[in-house]
Amino acid sequence: MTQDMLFSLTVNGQERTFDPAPDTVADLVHTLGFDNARIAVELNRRIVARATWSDIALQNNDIIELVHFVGGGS
Amino acid sequence: MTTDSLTLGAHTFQSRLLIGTGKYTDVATARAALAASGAEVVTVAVRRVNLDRDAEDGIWNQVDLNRYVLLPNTAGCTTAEEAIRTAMLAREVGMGDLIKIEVIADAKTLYPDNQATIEAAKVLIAEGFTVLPYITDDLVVCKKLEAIGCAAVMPLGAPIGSGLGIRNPVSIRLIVEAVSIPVIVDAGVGTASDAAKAMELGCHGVLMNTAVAAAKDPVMMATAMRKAVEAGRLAYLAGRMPMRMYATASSPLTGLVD
Repeated sequence: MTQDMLFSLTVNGQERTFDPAPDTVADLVHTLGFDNARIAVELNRRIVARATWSDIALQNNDIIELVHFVGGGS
Repeated sequence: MTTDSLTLGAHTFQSRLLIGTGKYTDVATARAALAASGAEVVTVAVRRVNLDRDAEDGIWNQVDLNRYVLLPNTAGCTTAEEAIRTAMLAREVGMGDLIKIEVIADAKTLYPDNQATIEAAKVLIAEGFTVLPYITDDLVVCKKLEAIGCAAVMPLGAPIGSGLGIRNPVSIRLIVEAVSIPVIVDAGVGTASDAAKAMELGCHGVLMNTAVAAAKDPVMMATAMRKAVEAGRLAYLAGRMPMRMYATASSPLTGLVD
């Protein structure tokens, strides 16, 4: 693969290249190591329900957000 | 007294103290303070995961959900749109319906944007959320929030993290009298007497974070807050004596020895 053919995603504001390319949201979450984490995924600003992670395909240059809960208060 | 509980949407709680989870120096202290507080509702924030982290996945994603109900907030949002987006993400993370709407309008005071809060609340109520808005101590705004279906209103006692106490008890009392949904003082409490004062004013609960987390001994302060909220609630229900300008003797004035 040449440089300009690398599969690229923007994840939490960081541009990242993947080889091999993750096919689905579930693949991406697995690659990043968050399979068992309580997280939510947004793909191009639309929430992807956990139950559909393995059904939703990723395209080059998609924008992903992965969020979780942190300490916070009033 | 066993039936004196706090109802927020479909949830019923025995504790009227709601606790935030930010600003603790370490995880062990946070856990111990939470347990000591007796709180059943725990606020959390929604943030990006750290993609390069090897560390634990944030203790607040591992709290015992049989014991605590998570109340995600929209802290950091400055528009209704951001708050709505954050609430949707929070629901996907936590699978719960509670949301604390927090739309900040002013960076220095962290005062909320009342209008944007109302807008966000409308949308999120339609989406099925149980909405708890952080709001200024403005009874007109609180009445509007009640009218659109909020489960409670959460007026500030003083700016977030200020520890100044209930700066305007009259406003808080007017809100308590004006709405028929729970009123939870959110922000401003600095020490136990502030929490007791809020409850004596007739508030249905108190939400705090810094007062516990920034105490020299957070676990001891959490215990103090638990007792203060209980004491203030009991005093409110008991009905305080009227204040008088002059003394009235407590001992009989008859039968004195000569």
